[in-house]
Amino acid sequence: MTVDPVLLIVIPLVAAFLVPITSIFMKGLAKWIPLLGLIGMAVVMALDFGDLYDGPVTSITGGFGPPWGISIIMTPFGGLLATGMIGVALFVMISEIDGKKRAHQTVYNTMVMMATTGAVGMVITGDIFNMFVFLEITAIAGVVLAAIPRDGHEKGLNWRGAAVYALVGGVASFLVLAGIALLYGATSTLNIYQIAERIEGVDTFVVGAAFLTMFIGLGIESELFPLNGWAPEVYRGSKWGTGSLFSGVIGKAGLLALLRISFVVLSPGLENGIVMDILLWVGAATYLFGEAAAFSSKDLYRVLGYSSIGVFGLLVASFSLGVADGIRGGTMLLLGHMLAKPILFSMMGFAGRKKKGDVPLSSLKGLIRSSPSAGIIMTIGILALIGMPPSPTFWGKYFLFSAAGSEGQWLLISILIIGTLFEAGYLGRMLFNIFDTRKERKADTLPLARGIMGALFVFFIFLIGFLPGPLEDIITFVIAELIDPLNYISWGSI
Amino acid sequence: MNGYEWIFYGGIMALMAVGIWAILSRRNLIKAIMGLVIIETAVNLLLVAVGYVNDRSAPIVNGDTGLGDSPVGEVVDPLPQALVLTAIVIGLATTALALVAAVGYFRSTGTLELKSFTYGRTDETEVKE
Repeated sequence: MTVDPVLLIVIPLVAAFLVPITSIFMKGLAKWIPLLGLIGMAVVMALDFGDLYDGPVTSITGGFGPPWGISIIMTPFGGLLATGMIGVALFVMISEIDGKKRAHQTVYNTMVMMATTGAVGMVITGDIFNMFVFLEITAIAGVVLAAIPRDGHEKGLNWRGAAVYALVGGVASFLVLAGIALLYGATSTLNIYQIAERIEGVDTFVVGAAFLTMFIGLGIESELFPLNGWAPEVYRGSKWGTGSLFSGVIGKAGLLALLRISFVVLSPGLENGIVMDILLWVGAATYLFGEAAAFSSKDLYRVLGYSSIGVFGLLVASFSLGVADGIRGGTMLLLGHMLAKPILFSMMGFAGRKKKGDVPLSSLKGLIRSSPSAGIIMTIGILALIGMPPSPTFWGKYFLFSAAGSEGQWLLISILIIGTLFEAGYLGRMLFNIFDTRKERKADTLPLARGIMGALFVFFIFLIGFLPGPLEDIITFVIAELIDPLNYISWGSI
Repeated sequence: MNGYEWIFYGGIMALMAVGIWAILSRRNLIKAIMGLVIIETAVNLLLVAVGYVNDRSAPIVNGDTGLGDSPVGEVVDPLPQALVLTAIVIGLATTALALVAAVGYFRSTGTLELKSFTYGRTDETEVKE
């Protein structure tokens, strides 16, 4: 059964609008609206997911078909990513159901819904200016999310993180807009598929300038080196849920936009392979930088933030290899990261909730004894992130290494190995602390909702790890979208 | 491109460079936000510029034009102007939000200077293990 995918944008937008209004009259109801909205989105996605096996799900808005109106083109890649985003947002919202009153809850709920609207919108829209508007929605939600402090720090809002992200996010979106203006000037259209169709006749200078501005803009959003100086500022002072949203929802939307703009739209208008080479080495550098910085950080929030930066680099490098196995590996790594990172953020937020200021590695000490369920869930999350079989990350790294090997990219392989060693270093330290039971620690029960969500994501890690087969059909479409722009063009023009 | 267009596009690039320079070089939050506003202006000008066609009028239609009397050949491209309108509104929201963050930062720290806008540094006490 096909449901109009535009509902994936309408539902969270309406929910975000209703939360602050109902919180004035019916506080009890306002708490549940975001949850209802996300469940609604999950239902729409579940109904449409089957259709993604046959290709993209499209929708025309306002009765104007292409090339006139804005069309929604949910490609299987976009659909897979949107599913993951809804999952991460649900994880974040459900995990905090524990009957406790939290400060800034209404604002937080509104912004989670806005960030989800923007991120899902960015990955399913077929119009490049529409994409800019969604990018702005995510950026604005991101600024407010960054300002909301962790539990227990209610008095001091993270103004520094908010100010830094407001500046950098603002520059990012206006650079993207500059790129859009250049592309519109050259091709007289805003439909992504039509720009892709007409790009080959355009002056290389204009395409190059558009690539530069959009690469910087979307690179900032997807935390690429050296455009990610803002990220640690945001991760270290905000809630664990904000960290999960930045790494699992907001950043992933920027990543897909970057890949789509680079490979589908701009790459055919530039010299052979130059876009791929730039992205490949920027990705590799980001991976190395992120993992090394995570290794040398002591505050757990920052460790996980830098680790996310590293994974973004790994993903970009993997997709930019331009071969089927690289894209297959990238998709698996993407899923693995979206499942494992929220678990780590959530359990770390639980273990370090009483700490004032930074959360040192030692706050995980003896977690396996003080709260066995949290310890076990976190251990599985850590092993899944590093790529122990069976986990999606294992398959991702396996395909990535074989793709890099068959392409003869030995420098890339050595960077991957060094990065993985750093990764093993800091994740190993975390594991060591979890199982270090030398010092007695008071028993601590994991709240039920948080435990259930953690266990659910662990289940998905094993499910995809053991049975990656059913995803293969979707991944074939992901490969088709990124390798041959003609596929996206034909999907868009229907 | 003719001479006038070169001046126009050159001016846009210069404005953009000024804005980016302001953000990179000023540690004062208000000055950095001014840089952001300058970038916004440059991008809005760029949008209007790409829709401009020599010797044509503004895309405002008076009265009933009918199909036979289409104004398409006489006016400049109206779409970028609609985009600029959207971009101005969004720019207003971003600027307001950035200023709110700047006010909050000032109230909590007593300064508008963002110290060491670089990697891996902390201005709070380091973690002691």
